[in-house]
Amino acid sequence: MTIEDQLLAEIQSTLGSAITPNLRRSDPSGIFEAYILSFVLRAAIRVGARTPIRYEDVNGNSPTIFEFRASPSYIASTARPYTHALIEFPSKPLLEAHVGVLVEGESGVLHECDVAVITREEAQRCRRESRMGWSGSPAVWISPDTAKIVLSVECKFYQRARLDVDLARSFLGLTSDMSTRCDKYFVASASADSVEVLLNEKHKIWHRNILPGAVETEMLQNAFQTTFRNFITSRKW
Amino acid sequence: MKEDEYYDRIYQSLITLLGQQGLSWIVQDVNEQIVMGKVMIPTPEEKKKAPRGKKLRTYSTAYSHKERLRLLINTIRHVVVHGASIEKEVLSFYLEPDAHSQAQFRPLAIKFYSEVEQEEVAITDEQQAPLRYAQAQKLGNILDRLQELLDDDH
Repeated sequence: MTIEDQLLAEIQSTLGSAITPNLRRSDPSGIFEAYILSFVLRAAIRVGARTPIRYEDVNGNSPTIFEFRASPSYIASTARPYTHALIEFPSKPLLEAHVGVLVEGESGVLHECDVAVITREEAQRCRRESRMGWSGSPAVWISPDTAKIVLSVECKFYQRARLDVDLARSFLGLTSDMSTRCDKYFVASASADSVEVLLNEKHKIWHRNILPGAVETEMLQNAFQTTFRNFITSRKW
Repeated sequence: MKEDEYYDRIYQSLITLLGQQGLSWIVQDVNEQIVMGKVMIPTPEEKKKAPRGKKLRTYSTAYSHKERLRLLINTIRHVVVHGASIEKEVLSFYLEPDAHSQAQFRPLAIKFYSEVEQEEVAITDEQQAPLRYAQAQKLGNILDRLQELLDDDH
């Protein structure tokens, strides 16, 4: 047996038990989005958000198991008791931080936000005005207005050649249809030249190599802190 | 000097291993990248320095057999090894009581649910995740050794 064959045999015996469950899907980005949400929450705490951070589900209950979306859906969806975090700054509107929600662009088109920090008032309006389907009457879902979103993040885990550029293009489409009040981020776990050139050219905020232990994570957290500082000091909110 | 067949044999073996673990999508992504080739986009500085009358254009070069294999190894490392590190970080933030995360009530686990697939796609908790992380670190070391072997031209 060659050394190469030995190493391949070791890979075979190790790979199965090293795989996180979400990797068995073709889109394993859910856990990366929860990871990015943790930076958003840390940033909020660093600039003075109330601790401990409170979490609740769509019904307002404190969850014993956190459930995050692995595919985009409506903020008022009751398909599962999805978890969101509450961010409280003194004398400012209460905020909710969500994973994988749909939002309404200025054109009226719906867009997906992998991570979004929305005013609680707007999130509650959407939950209040949405209604479950019942016999003969379809469900109606209302999505948050982008003017009520403080921060949104497009998250991209791992590199995919064609998808990279497609995602960057959809990010550009999203940003052009979102309120200027919202800070929009493109965050990737890897680097991709084509995406970076495209986003640089369009003067968009992007962060790459966002992985545990990477220095870039600190820069990302600093950027989120700036967004929250602006939120705290701005009279628009 | 190693022959192309040498790299191809290892490449094919890894593809088979990934397929056995339900990770064929990684192979598909790597294949997409191989089809695209290495895209070279001239920087603004390079464009400025270009000889008069000559416009620098974006071009693409094909991956060699060795580069293809390196790309696959790096992708496995990124997705599996870094994926496990991310899972560990997520757990430590949401599940462990520390000065930063401070969930009011510590949750027992984190679930991910897809309404499109109508199924729970992942559950992560303090029992399974550390074991996975340890195995992923071990895998990372094996991939490093394999990479060193490939880079050694003797």
